[in-house]
Amino acid sequence: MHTAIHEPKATDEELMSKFQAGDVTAMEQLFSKYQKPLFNFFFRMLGRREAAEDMVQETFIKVCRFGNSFKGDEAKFSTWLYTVAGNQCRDHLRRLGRRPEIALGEYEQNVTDGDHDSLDPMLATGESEVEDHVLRMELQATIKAAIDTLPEREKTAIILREYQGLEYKDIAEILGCPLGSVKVLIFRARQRLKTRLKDLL
Amino acid sequence: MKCSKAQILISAYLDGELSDKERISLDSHLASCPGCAREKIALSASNNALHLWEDAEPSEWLAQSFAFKLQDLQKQPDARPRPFNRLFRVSAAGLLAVMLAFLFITHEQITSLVNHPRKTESIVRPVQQAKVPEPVHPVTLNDHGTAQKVILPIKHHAHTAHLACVPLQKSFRTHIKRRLGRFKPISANILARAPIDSNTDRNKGFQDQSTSKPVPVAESRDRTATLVAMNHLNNAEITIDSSMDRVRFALRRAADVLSATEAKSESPANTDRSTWRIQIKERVYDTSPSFINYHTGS
Repeated sequence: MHTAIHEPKATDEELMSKFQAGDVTAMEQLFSKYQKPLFNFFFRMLGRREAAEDMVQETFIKVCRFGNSFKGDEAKFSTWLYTVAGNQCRDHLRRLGRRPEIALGEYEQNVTDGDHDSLDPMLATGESEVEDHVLRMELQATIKAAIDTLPEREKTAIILREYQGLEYKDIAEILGCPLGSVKVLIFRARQRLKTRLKDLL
Repeated sequence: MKCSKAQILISAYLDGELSDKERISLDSHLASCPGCAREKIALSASNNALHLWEDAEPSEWLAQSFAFKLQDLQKQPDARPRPFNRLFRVSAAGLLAVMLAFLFITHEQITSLVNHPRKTESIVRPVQQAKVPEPVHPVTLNDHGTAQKVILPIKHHAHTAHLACVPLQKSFRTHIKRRLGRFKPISANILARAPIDSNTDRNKGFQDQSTSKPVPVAESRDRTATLVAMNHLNNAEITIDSSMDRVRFALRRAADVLSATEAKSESPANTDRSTWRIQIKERVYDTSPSFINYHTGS
């Protein structure tokens, strides 16, 4: 017990190295650490809980399958993970893009899906709390709608920066573009969001 | 510094991503340009507003489902993360393939030289004849995990009870659902439908008797509750509109709940488990703009 407490926590790269050596529990630890951030990344990118959960799972299955190609001494695990996730997301959005009428249906459902998630807490709270809750949901819906209108790369860049808290150099690696382009992508995204969120401010 | 450049830098400034030189240069510009100073405040405010969209929690299903997936991946030799073993296996397999090919070619060449001097195409035949494993239908729960009991008491010999799973992309399923007009769009993606001729009391909760239309029995994510409810509904058709993994997960949970319930119950609903059977049939929809074909794997 004592050794477990004093043992320094393994880094992501060390965990990945253990997984490469056959230790499956290392992958479980990585999953448990990243499932929530990754879920929220996909949820904000795609707007649907179920799609986001499926994507998290698919991303980690890819990480397992292609785990041997990861080199911990050359790359950060989180950057590699988000690169895989970004590719998954792009493929998914492209598939949707080929069927625009379905994509519209997805969007309509998102609203219902979001409301559905919020119903249970409302039932258990008082009137003012319900009002707060409804207000919060409306704010979130406005922000979500504003982010949804961004071009895909700007959307990815701003989500990685604002919600995932990644640095520009990591975002540049994930998007496969120079650092200067990331600056411009994030700047443009913010300009658009500023216009669309002006009613909130 | 020009205002256009300053505005790009303001964005990076908010993120602390400027070099010292850039930051000093921007600070001096902001001190002398009220327009850019206002821009910085506005950009900062809209940026803060973004954080009103709070993080959501993934469902419990996600971690448990991944744990099952990880177990499955472990069982597949190629997915095991052991570079040396894998390398060795690949090398050994490659060597064996080369040796076999060599022997086969030699044999074929000798034979063909003797019998049919010009016939050479048989050399590639072993590759073409390689068998691809076919998916197994139907899939039963017993193949997976610890929930060995297959619980739903549906008497397969009496009626065509089954669980149907549609392992397609959600968007595609939505499209199909709308075109078929059978299902509500989202709030009830589990429907239970009793056969029209089994008009028993137990089925009333699941069917609108006046129209004989299926009605939703559970909220979209409460699959387990639906399946447990179905314990009391024989001869029913359940459609779970979700991926195969989610169906399996829901079934395992339902199996656990039902086992626990039955252990407490003095008179279990159906004691003859030998007649209980469950099938997850994989339905594949083939759609085109003009029609929908409906195939059932079996």
